[in-house]
Amino acid sequence: MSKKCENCGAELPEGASFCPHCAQSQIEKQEVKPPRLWRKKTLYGLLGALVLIVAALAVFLPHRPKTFEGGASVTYTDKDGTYELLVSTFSDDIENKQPEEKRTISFPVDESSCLPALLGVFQDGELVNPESFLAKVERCTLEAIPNENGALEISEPRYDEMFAPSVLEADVFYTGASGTNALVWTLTMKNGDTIRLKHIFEVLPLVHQAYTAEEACLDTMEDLKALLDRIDGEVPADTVVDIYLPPVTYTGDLLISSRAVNLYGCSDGSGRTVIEGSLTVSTHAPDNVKLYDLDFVGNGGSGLTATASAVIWNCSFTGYDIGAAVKDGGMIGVEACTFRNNGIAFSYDTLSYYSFKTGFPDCTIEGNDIGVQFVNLPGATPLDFGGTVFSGNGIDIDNPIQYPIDLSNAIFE
Amino acid sequence: MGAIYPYLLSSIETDYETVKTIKNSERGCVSLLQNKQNGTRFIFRHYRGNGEVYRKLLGISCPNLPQIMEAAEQDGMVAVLEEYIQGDSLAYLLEGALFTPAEARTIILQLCNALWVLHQLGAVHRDIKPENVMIRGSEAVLIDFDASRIFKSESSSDTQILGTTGYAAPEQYGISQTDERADIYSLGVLLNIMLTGKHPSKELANGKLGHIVQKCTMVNPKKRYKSVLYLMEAL
Repeated sequence: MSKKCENCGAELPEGASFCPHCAQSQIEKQEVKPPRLWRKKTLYGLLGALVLIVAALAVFLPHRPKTFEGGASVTYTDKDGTYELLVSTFSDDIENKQPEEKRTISFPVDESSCLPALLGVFQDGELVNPESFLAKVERCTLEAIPNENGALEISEPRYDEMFAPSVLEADVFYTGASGTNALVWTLTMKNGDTIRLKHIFEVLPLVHQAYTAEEACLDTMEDLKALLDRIDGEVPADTVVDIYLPPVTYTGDLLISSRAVNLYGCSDGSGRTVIEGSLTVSTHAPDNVKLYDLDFVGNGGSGLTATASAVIWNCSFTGYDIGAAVKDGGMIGVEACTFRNNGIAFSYDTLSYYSFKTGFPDCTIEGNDIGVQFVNLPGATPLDFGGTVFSGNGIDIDNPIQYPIDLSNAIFE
Repeated sequence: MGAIYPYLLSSIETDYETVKTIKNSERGCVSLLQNKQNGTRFIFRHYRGNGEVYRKLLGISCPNLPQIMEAAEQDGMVAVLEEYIQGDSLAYLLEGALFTPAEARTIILQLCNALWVLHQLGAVHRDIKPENVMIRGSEAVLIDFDASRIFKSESSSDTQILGTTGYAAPEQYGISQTDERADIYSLGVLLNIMLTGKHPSKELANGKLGHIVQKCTMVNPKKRYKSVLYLMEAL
């Protein structure tokens, strides 16, 4: 057995690796190298680097700026301790440590209003001193992020002692078209931490539907009650009903309890709309009950009793034991009304807290045994009696609970 | 295989001329040959012993080993034609000066490359010394595998005492079967010689390389680096 040299053709024995004649190899040689090692040195290096990184993180992490994200509440910890932050649009919620995840209100599309967005801070279960906490805050923003069309205007958050013990307050201006917005609080702390809270503010647009004497018979109290029953059956619950009453006298008692309606008395100069009897308001869905230009005339009893929120404007109350009474669950906003010759013109006797009270401006309180009586009224927002005239009352203001009132612009004759 | 041996000897007689005889002993001789046709030089080894290591190296190429062109055996005689490494031996260079730690480290790493190939083939060089290390340019080349053998784990001890006094590991003197750790011992001695000019038992190199020499030259092979890869790792 033999073979020939691939180079010179010389006869070679089988298995020869080399041709001695021409000095050429007859086989292909494979180059071999030691494998690249993960050398111990390298591993030690990596391990060392890892140890250094871990050590650096151990040193750095506790001081690294952190972001604390929450819904309507969040727990924040810094070198001084742990804090509970919460947000709401009710002062009561702040005081009672009740975060408000969502606030829904119904409001007319073409009207605007405002409510406060509040941020409270607790430490060890107690409300903190706003000043000491604000000393840690570099800056704070409140941003409205709309989920749909519409927007809110928001003032810059600040400490306002009127909303104490809240640490920060911002005014949220809305209309019925503001839609749903996320109110996002961002607190940038001086130590670099960021705290973020979020609550939802939803405004449902109120649609108005009007009824007048031309469309419905409104001659008597029975007619009015019949219309209210009809409205319950045919008008959606989220629609605001405005009833424009003719200059007639309605005799009897009226209860507004199944849905809120607005009653507009006659104001065109052709006469006044009179109610001889009492009116009780026990619902404010979908909106406050608004009473305009009505003359309540009684013979004892109560003219208006509110266990829900109502607004009276340019109304008069005469001849009642109590002209208008705020009871538990209710509140009455009063403006430019007249209370004359009643036992008690206006009475606050409620344990329900309303953060906003409109005050008692531009009224006439005359010839009553007691003008305004405070039996119970939670809260601390001063009531403003600016422009209100007290005249000929046995007692102008009976305030044994010493509810704060501002009489600086009231007139006593 | 049997046909190659006489053919190789015959061809060398006809096609080559002897430039010089490098070594001549009872075991055999090593000579430098030159191809008459093209002038290419080769080392020709002809000795009594085992040529298994050379045969295994036939298909291998490594910059730190000479290329084996042909290896043949017959009746206990081995004929090997291998690449001639043009350069100076480490022994020659050591006559002039010692090596710096960086130079010594580079050379030992290259010899580790060569030994890794041998050890992968199951071979032990068993005669690592300055005379068997050629410096070709920037590469150290380990030569002369005449003393090398394929180690077998079942053997209780080597059958012959081979190697060079001073460089050979204790087990090469018959204490136990030699394996790749015998070469590690020799590399340790060589490293120490390159740095100090002396055997580590006389003067150990300083610093980290001294520690490496110490670990290479432990009497108990189990306490040495387990393989050249570990030694490379340490270097």
